[in-house]
Amino acid sequence: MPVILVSSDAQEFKVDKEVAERSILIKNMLEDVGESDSPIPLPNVTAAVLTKVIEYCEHHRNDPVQVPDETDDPRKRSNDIEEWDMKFMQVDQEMLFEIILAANYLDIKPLLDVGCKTVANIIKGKTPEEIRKAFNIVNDFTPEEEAQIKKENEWAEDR
Amino acid sequence: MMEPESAVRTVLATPELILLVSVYLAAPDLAHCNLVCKAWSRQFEPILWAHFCPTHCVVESSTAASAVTAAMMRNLPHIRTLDLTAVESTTLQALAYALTSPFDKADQDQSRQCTNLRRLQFVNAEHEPRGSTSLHLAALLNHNPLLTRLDLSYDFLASSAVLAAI
Repeated sequence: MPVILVSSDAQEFKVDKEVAERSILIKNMLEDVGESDSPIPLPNVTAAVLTKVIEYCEHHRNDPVQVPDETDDPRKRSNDIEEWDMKFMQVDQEMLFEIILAANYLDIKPLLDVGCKTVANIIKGKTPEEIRKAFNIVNDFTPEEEAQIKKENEWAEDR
Repeated sequence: MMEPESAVRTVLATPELILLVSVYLAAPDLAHCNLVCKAWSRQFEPILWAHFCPTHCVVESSTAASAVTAAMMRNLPHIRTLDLTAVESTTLQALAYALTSPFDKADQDQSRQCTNLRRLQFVNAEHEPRGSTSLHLAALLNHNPLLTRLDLSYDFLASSAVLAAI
């Protein structure tokens, strides 16, 4: 039975239940209300973003449930994004971050992970100035403060 | 003029999401994030210090050493992985002293002590540990109940205080 999702800008999306249930938020909602065909409002997600999120859930509809990674490895890898996901994430920066917010709100862990990996890959290997440029951030440190933090961070720099 | 609300700004101002991104970043990248702006620095400094594993000698000059030590003291409760393998013995002694000094102050707030270690690596094949280093190490062990991994060099195992703490 299909489920009807309603975006913040009042567009309706008809999707298969198993696709919609990639979102733990929606899955729990459906379990709570039981059999019902009333539309599910998603006031935090615009139609443009919901279209992308549904595209992701359609593609991954048969993925096994992710087991949380309990290894205490402090660092995870971000270079293991599968090809389809990589292409899926080739969107403008605002859309990338919209998808992250939507995945967080809808509780779609694998999509949230891919989004965060993509952001990490933007940051990797960049100087602080290049990071500011990438995200349009203003440097509000005085030169003295910046020099002080550089000294404190010295142990972490690659040589 | 007010900046329009953007998803980029929202995500980068949400600590849980910053944390999710940060697990994919290594120390040099975290250090760069710490230098981007004040808001990022507040978020990334504790994340950077969660894994204090200097890959090269911390101290080349005494001013650099004191800057690193001061930052370390600020972040003691955040340190989860401590790996001092690459640190030579004089510096090791100084850092071990600094790490444990808050334990001795009765009035010291526990939230400012180094008590959240999960991994500790104190292997130093080239240099013998100096005098009090073993005692500081024993104090660290006694105050870190959450420790699940410990790597020590033989020199430390010769210390009865360290053995007792293990």
